[in-house]
Formats: sequence, structure tokens, C-alpha cells
Amino acid sequence: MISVRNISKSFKDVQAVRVVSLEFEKGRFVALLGPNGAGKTTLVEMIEGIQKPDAGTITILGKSWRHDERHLRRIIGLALQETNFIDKLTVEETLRLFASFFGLGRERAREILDLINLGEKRRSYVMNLSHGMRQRLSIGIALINDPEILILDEPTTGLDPVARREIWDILMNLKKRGASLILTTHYMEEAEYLCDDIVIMDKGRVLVRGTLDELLKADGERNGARGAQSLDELFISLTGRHLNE
Amino acid sequence: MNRPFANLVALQFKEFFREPEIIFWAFVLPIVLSWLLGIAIGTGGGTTATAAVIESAEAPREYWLSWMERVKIGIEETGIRGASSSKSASREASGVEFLVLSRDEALLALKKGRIALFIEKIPGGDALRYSFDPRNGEARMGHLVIDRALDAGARAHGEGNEVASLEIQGTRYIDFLVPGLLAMDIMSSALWGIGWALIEIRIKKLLRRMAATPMHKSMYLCSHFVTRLIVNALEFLALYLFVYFYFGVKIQGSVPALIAIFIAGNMAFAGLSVLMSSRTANPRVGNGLINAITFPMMLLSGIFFSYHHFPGWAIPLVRKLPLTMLADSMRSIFNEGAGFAQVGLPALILAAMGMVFFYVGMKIYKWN
Repeated sequence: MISVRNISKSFKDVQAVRVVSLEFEKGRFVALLGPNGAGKTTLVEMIEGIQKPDAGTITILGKSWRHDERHLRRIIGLALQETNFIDKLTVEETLRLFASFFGLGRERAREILDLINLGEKRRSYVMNLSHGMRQRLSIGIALINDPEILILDEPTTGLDPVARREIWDILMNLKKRGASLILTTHYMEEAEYLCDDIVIMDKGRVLVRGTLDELLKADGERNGARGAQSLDELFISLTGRHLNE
Repeated sequence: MNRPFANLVALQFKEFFREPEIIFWAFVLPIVLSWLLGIAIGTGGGTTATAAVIESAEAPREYWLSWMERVKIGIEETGIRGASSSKSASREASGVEFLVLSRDEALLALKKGRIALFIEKIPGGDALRYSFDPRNGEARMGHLVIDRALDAGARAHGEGNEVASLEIQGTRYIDFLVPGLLAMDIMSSALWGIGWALIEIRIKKLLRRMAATPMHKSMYLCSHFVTRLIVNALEFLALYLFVYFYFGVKIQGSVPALIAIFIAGNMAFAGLSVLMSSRTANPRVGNGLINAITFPMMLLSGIFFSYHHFPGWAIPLVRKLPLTMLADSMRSIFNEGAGFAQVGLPALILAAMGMVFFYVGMKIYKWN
């Protein structure tokens, strides 16, 4: 579905992504795990067509950003890190605005309100929403075009456990409906709970990629009795750091 | 139908009208400013002048008191005879104030700006000497008023020539001020309402989020222009209605030409705003850029006072500034009865400027 081949990206003297190649399959949830500065956001922003790679190629369902940008914008849904919507628009107005960009009507905005469980807040200004509600709104906007591919960049960062669980419920519902997701996260349990595949990145490189069982098995084969028993241990073993460092 | 362009325009309106502070700055401030300046500087044609007469052995205080009586008669007759409105004429007549001072006191008062000119009797005859800075408009106007008043006073006693009225519609300071304020409002409104708004949206990372949809980017920027055009038209109307009823300011020229220059001015400053905001993601830089553009133009373009006081070499440059073109064109329509023949070219230049700024801005625009 998405093919990333040998992509690299630098900002001034920092090499954010170093020769990364990945394949993402349709209908699977994939977590990109890594500490701050690992290159997760830069990688997903290149997949989203927001950043251009310095080298390498990205194709999505056989299309490239260079030639098929408008088509790809229609089939991808995304939630960026730290987006602030317009304070004095209501939740419903914000959804209707984004729906209009895809040629969709207010009915779609109403459907999304139900999906993200913000129906009661439809007339509230964005500025009056809690952080968790704003994140749900951000995911709602990502879903407005019923995307074939959903890319969420740290959608639960900074949320309390209840708010995080609410977002997980939304995403699990999407999973049951066969959605495809790329998710960056700082939370091990989020990756374990939601995702089929896990990609661990550090310093711009992909260290490992596979299901949790595959990753633990491979680590056990490498390290014998000292092999990791959990994703947390695996992460420390691979990077020498805790995830939040 | 959920149309993106209509939605974008609507969202900007909602954002605008849901901020009471913005409504105050946009609608109330220009009215208060015009009222304060109109009251402070007067509606009497900008001819208010304070003059000193120099007390000397040959021209003692009594001589000047008698002379002032003659001048006063002359001023009153000049004003009443030539004025379309006796109310405004009498204001103008009472606009000249005289002080009896020694020469040293007069020089000091001149340095302090208390008086604009002084008058002394040349020894050995009835001739007077006016002393003033020829670049000082108030002094020149004061000299003219007194001189003509003396003629009129003499005529009233059976001598002297006819004196033309100074009270003509459009010569008051408020007539000068209002078109300039309207032009300045278009500039400020565009630079803050479009330029600053775009910078703020970029800082909030909303711009990159919107750019990551199939929305047409040029449509997004155009929606800001259309919103601002409508808001500016409402602001224009509010200020005009106020000065029409309160100060009697009237549009003497072509209204279609005024609409054309209004739209062209909005295009110029909207384009400039897009260009100005095209790369900036730092609020301090954005603030500085807007001030760097607006302040020099506010000072140079003759909004509050005529730019003709600037050195001769600077005036052709000042006239090429978009705010000068807009203010001059609006003034000529308001006060001189101008139409398309007079403002057509500046309108075209302003519109072209706007399109070029917009095009360059779009080319270098930073959406991420």
C-alpha cells in the first residue's frame, strides 16, 4: 500500500531520517516507536507529503506526491502534532469547514461528531474544549474524508489515561472496519494495544520492524536468556534508552 | 451545499465578529480618531492661526488695538460674504488670534510654536512687515487671512478691493483628514487582518493542516481578501456616515470611481499582506514587518498632514507609495469632485501592484 524506499532528510546540520525503507500493508495498524528526535515525525510528514525527502522515493497505492498530490490528499487522513484549530469556531463549524475541502456536506460532519463522541459539544467553541476533546476533534478531522490511509502523529501525547482510552476506543472501532493506520507514539502500551506491527526508530534509522511476538522472538534468538520479555525491555535493549528520554 | 470558499469566508467573518475587541478597533477607533482630530484641529478650513503684533514706541498697544478692530471687521465681512454657511464662516473668522508682545517675547513664542507669525509696523509709514517661516502652512494661511481682512476692512470704509472667500467645501481639515483615514484604515486592516492573521495561522500550525487537504491554496488566500474587502466596506460606511452627519463631509466626485479605487486599494494592500506573510513564522518578526510597512507610510503619505512639507526631492517618491496613491485619489474624489479620468490610472496601478505582490507571495509562500 505504502512503499518507502531509501529516504533521507536533513535539516541544516541535523540528519533527521537516514536511508529508511519500509512497506506498509493495507488493513494493518503500524506503530512507529522512538524517543524524541528519533525521526518519527519527519518520516510520517514525508509520507503525508508535507515534507519532501532529500533522497529516496515514496509511493502510495502506486501514486507519488510529485504527480498525484490532489488525489493523495483525498485518500489520506492525518492528524499532525500540535495543531491548534480556530478558537472561536464551534466544533461542528470546524468539521464542516474541513468537510467542505473534500466536497462533503454537513451530514458528514454530523456523522463524525457521533464517531468521536463530541455530539454534545457540537456548539462549543474549540477554545473551550479540553485537551482530550481537541485531540478527538483532530482525529475527527482526519477521518472526515473516510480515508483509505490514516496517519496520526502522537494523538494521545499529554492526555490523561481516561482521555487516552477514549481515543483508543475510536481507533479500535476503525480497526474493526478494516482501516489502515500509521501511528507515532511515545507509549509502549498504546503500540501494544492498538497495532499489529511495531517499528522502532532511533537517530533517524529503523532498528527493527515486526509484530511484538516476532520482535521478542528475534531478540531472544540474539541474546539467549537475556532476551527482552516485553516491548519496554526490547526498546531499552535496542536504544539504550527509555522511550520518554 | 457545503462550498469550501463560502465556508472559508464565513469562518473568517465568524472569527472577526466573535472578537468584540476587534470590532472596537475596526469600527469605533476610526470614528473616535476622526472626531478627536476634527474637534482638536477644527472644522474651520485649517486656517486657524495665532499671530503676534509687536509693541514698539512707534506702534504702542493702543495702535494695535485699533488696528485689530479693523482686522476683525475685515475678517467677519470676508467670512460672511463668501461663505455658503454662515455658521462655518463665523468659526473661521474667530480662528485668528492676536497677541500683543515685545519683539523678544514674540521670537520666543515663535520658537515654542505658540504663534505662527508676527507683524510689526515699518517705521516711517503705514506699511507692515510679516515675519514667518514660509514652509509653515499655518503662518502662510494666517498671513493671507489678515492681509485680505485688511483689504476687506478698508473696502468696508469705502476703499479696497474685493476679497475671495476661503470657506469652500473641502478645505477644512476634516475634509482633508477623512479620505486619508479611510485609506489608512484599508492599509491597516489588510496588513493586520490578512497579514497578521496568516502569520498567526502558520504559528498555530493550522496553515499546514489546511494545506494537507485538497483545498486550493490560492482560494484560501483569496478568501481572506474577500472577507477583508467586505469588512473594510462596512468600516468605510460606518466612518463615512459618522462624518457625513457630524461634520458634513460629502463625496463631491464620482461614487463608482470611489468604489473602484477602494477595491484597487484593497487589492494592493491584500497582495502586500500575502507577500509580507509569505515566509514569516515568528510573531515578533511579523509585528516588526507590519510596523515597518505601516508606520513610514502613515507618516509619509500625508494622512494627517500634507506631505508637501517634505523636501522637493522626496515628494515624487512619496507619491509612488501605495498609501499616498490611495489617499490622494480618495481625497480628489471627496474634495475636488474627481472621477475615473483622475483616479483611473492610480486605480490600475494599485490593482496591478496587488496582483504582482499576490503572485510573488504565492510563489514563495511557506505552507509548512
